[in-house]
Amino acid sequence: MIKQKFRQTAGGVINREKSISFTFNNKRLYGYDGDTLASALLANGIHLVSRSFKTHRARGIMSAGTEEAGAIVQISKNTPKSQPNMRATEVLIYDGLAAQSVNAWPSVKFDIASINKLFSKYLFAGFYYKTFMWPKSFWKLLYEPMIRQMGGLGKCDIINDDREYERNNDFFDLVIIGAGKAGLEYAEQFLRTHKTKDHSIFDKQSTNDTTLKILLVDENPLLYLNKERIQKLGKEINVLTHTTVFGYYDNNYLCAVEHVNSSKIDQRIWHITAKQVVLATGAIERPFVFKNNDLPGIMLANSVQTYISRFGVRCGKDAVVFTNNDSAYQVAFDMKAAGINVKAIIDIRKTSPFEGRTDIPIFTQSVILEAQGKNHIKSVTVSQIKSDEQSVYRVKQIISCDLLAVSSGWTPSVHLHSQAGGKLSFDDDKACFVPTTTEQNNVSIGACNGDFSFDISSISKKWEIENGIGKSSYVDFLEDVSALDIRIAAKEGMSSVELLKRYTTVGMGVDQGKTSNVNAIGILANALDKPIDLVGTTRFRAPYTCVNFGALAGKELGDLLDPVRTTPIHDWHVDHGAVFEDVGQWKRPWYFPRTHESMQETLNRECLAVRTSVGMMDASTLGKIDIQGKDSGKFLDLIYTNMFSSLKVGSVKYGLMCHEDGMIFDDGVTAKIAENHYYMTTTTGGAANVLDWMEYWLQTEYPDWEVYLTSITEQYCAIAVSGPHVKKVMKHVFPEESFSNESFTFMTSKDILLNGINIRVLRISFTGELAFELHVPSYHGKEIWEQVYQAGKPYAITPYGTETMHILRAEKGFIIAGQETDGSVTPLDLDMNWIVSKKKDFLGKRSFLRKDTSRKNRKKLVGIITKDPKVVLPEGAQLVKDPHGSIPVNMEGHVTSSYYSATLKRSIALALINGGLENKGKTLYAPIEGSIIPVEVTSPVFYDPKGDRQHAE
Amino acid sequence: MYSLIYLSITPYFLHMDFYKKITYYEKKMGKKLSIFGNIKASHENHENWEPLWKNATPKKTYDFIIIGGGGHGLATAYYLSRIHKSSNIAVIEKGWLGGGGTGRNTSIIRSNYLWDESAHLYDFSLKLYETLSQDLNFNTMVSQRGVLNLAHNLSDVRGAKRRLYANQLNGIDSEWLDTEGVKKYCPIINTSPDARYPVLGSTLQRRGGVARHDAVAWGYARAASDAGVDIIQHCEVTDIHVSNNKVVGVETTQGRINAKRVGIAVAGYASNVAKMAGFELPIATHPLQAYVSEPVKPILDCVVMSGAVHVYLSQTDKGELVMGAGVDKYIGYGQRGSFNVIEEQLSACMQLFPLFSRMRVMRTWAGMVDTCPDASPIVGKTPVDGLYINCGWGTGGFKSTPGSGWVFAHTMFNDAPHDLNKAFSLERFYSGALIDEHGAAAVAH
Repeated sequence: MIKQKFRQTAGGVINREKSISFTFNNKRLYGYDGDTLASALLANGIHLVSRSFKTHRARGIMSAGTEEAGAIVQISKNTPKSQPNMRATEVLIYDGLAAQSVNAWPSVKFDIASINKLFSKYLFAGFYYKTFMWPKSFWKLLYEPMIRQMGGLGKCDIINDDREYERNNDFFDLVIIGAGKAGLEYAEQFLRTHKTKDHSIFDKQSTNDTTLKILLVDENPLLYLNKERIQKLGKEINVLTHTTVFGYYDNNYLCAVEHVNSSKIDQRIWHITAKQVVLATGAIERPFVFKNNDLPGIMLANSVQTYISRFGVRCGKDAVVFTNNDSAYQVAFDMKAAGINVKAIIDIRKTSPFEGRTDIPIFTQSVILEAQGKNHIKSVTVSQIKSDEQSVYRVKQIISCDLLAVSSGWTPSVHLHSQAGGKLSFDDDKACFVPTTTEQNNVSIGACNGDFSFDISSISKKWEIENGIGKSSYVDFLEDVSALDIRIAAKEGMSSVELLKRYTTVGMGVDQGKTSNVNAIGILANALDKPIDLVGTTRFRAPYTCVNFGALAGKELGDLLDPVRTTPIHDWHVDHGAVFEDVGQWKRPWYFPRTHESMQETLNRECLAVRTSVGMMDASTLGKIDIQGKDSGKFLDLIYTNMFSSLKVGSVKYGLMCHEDGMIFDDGVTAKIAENHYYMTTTTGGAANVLDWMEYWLQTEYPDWEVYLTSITEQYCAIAVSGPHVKKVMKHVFPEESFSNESFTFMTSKDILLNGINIRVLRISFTGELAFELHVPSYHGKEIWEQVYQAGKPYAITPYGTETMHILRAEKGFIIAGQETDGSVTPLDLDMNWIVSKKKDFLGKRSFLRKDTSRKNRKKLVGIITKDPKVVLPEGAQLVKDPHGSIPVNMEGHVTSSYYSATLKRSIALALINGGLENKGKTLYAPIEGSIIPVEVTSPVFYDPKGDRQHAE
Repeated sequence: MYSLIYLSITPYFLHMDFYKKITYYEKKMGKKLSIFGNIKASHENHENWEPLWKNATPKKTYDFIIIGGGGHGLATAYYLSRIHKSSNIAVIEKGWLGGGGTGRNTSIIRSNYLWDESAHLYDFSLKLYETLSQDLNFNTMVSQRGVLNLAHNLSDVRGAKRRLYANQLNGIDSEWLDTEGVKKYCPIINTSPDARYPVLGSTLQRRGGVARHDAVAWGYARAASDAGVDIIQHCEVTDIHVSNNKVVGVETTQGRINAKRVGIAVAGYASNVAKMAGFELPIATHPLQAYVSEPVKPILDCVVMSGAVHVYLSQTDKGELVMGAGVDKYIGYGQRGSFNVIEEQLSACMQLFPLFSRMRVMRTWAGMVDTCPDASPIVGKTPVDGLYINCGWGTGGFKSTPGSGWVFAHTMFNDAPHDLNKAFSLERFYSGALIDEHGAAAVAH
């Protein structure tokens, strides 16, 4: 095993017994169990991890947490687990881990595109908007492809992700977010004073459930936290570690992601509803903005400390500390204790409370003007500031070092507080934004509330060291935004922080500005000469840290994305070779091809069977709604355009429904089963909408009406049997019943008991032939279907699918809601005046009086036949009068349905055209893909215009 | 290849003589933005940048006031001044420019709408987009990378083809791709027939694509400001003054401002502002969310939209995937939506792009969509003389920005609508001459 040069011989929480082998840029390295990729790299003396977004500057590990803005890697490239843009600080190493630098080619140390640094002078804020406009064609051919090639960090591998994700929901009385000092203390104190048995503070109503449900959650793995105390707490409350709460929505609704890292589940999304939330999310240290502040080897001070205490890793040998507050001093002392040679502490402030208390040289009233180095920091230039706090003395000192620990203050992690609607204000003494009022039931404690464990009050509010124009003084490392960019934006009028963000992209990178936002706001405030509080912050939005698409999608993938609905007869269809079509969530048999039969041959056979003998179709997908209550009739009169209240018991009626605008949105037949009891059918796709629509009117406008609606779509199968021989088949199935026209008249229904099964038989026809529909309790659906099929065998009964149904009804000119209608068609447009009641009011009626709705030349339903009977028009074809008209051509209307009719031995079509049947006999043209098809306007009823066949004896 | 071009031009940039030449050309360009100006500014340490638009304080009286400093309002002011040679125009914005729908959309531009009225208006807009960077002398990064509208079932196919044939006869480029064609055009789409929603085909509008949304607002603001339009930020209109059914001015947080004509272009707040003038609008405002992933190298080279699975996404020049979620069903002005909407949409997205499972959501946000019952906008006169309304664009606001501004400017200037917005009158909700894009809009974005 190769020695880890920067690993101390002891210390940290890592498991030194277990060595882990991983690769970085294909080089084999070793770390310990418990290491992050960042700590393992640092242990091996590697700081340089990736190249920056625009200027390809060398970037290294600058933190130890989710705020990391430098070290971006690609994990497991070219494998199913490939993950772009991971921060080295958030990846726990494991045997076989393969990490690679991003945005670097051929290697991170020698990166060709770092030539961009030469251009960086020209790559300033708003630069794109001011150029690449000339010549125009170059944008598409050269400029944009070039920009795109340069954009992005990692790669999204074209190979499917094989990790598993899942989702969990839970309720808690109290959720404590953050198991750091404040969170742990709060939890322990809470348990001491309240005990979990006492629930009085929550005003819990249920007396049965006496245990308070409490959750403590932290984004760190348990290993990095105070294990003993958390395990002790874990006996009484729920604990989730390595879990980041990333979203805080209305009603104390929290979204979190748990990094499970088990062999089965990679991540688990939590949806948590909490009565009370305690935010103990801590604070993030800020970097200084000075020249070359982004060099690898420059790190947030507290992270240097974390690497020592948690991983036993020294981030360098010779270090300098640069601070404007007290917090970095302890870091310096810890570094020294860990054997790092701390050469100096550079403190901006006039005096330091630690002067004389340490042998580390302290340079007060001093700043680092710039850092030097190529791929790693080599030295820093230090100078004293004059009393104006701006300018510096000429005398400069260069201190060589390989590590610079910086602290320009602390930013409370107010993300969740702010997402929840809480307000912020800038605390001048602490130099940070702190929570003020909350909108929801939550409270912020500890560092995230600005209550730090060290004295912050003496902080100097200086975080930018101006030296030159600030081109290489980076504010946002991930987006390559410099102090200069912010000043340019301010000069150009981007005076609002929201505009600044959009113009410079500051804070829009992978870390969402965790370390950059406050520095940017400070520089903008200076540039505008406004107090920071007036500049304000941008709105905090979920997610706090990036979350995998896959994790959020959870298990709702493939067939679980949307349930596939099949009828109880589905297996029979599969066994009989049906081809299915998707209609909403349903799988419906489209047609039943025999071996070597083309689709058209199948359709011809199926259609002719219905017209000449008998066919059967599974109509179970139709929406079915049971309607009861004393106001049912009145209610149906409101919903349908025609009258239902006067229907006799046992009768069936076809009805149309319109929205308020008078446009048809669904149709179907409804049977009156008993007084105040109706059985409604709807279209397959419209079932849910119709139920919603009716409930909407009942609940919002007529709550006093007594009507009960129950969806029974799934409870009933519907079998349509149709054709001249249908009565013989029915007689065979129901030997006791008479199907004569006298005893079972058209448009009536009967409940027939067959072997103890109550079958609702409707004599209705959608094919124009003699027909019955059998509505059978689902459990017995397949059994009755089989019985009908057997009974029909002597007549070669033919199962048919939706396509044949469509052809047969089109031959009769029957519409399909959603195909002949599109939300712009009234019953009158379909010449269905007979179905529009003049006696009563109904939804949509008043709209018929409107000027445009009552206009003469509206688009109306017609039949269309092609001059060449063999040509079948494509559905959706537009019809024009002048086939050679110049574009834009006036369109008369469009073809809504179009088929080849075996019965008529020619093609037929339905269309909606201006003026409708006034054009009867006229020629129109369908321009299709360069050819022009002449057609003639006819009646939409192509077959049996008198409608005798459905009444045959 | 790009690296080579890049390397070969580098030496020129570094040569000092080059800077002198640049200064010469920059002078020749005058106030125009160009690469020369950029380079010159860099050599001058960026000390001389001026505001893109002047921040005006309100005058007492204007000929035209436009309420709302989003894309539509700014475009209207720009065209009033440029096309109609009007002066004395003000745009009043209560917050920051482009802070509403302009800065919150998924930046898709296309014109393949079904109905003639919509198709003509959106295509006019798309045409203006095609030369917008040059017209405004501001790079709006219009990227015509093609828009796919996928069809997943026979009903989708029927609707898509109907739209396709209508588009072709309206002179709007539109092509049909079958499943294989889709796979060829966008190889990363899952076109497996076993998918829960198999891809049966797609329409393709090659002229469709995306544009840099904020830049559209800034470009118009800059051009309008240069033309003398007063852009007044952080000034909220609190009332509209009407006398004898004629508009006479507005009350604002910066005092009263008189005006001969006033245009309302405030999208989600349209109903509230209309109420100030005493009339109602058939508008419902809903939250609508969008989000971006982390930036990755180019992976998706076109815009993909699917109504059935409700996905619409594209990749920005920066490398982020931009995705739009569905509308939250409730009415709200909060600019925040519900998380389950995003989750449901991602589940649907995984069906089309299983490889994106490894992508991570980086930022989510929400805006407001003001929608009419027929999913078409209202652009025209109001019951109050001299007061005009432009609203109800729903999810179509960004793509219509230039066209909307153009016709609204025409309407305000002539006190009569342009041919392209005649049909989009408020009056249509009385006459019933609706332009119902619900039925055919696939997914309305």
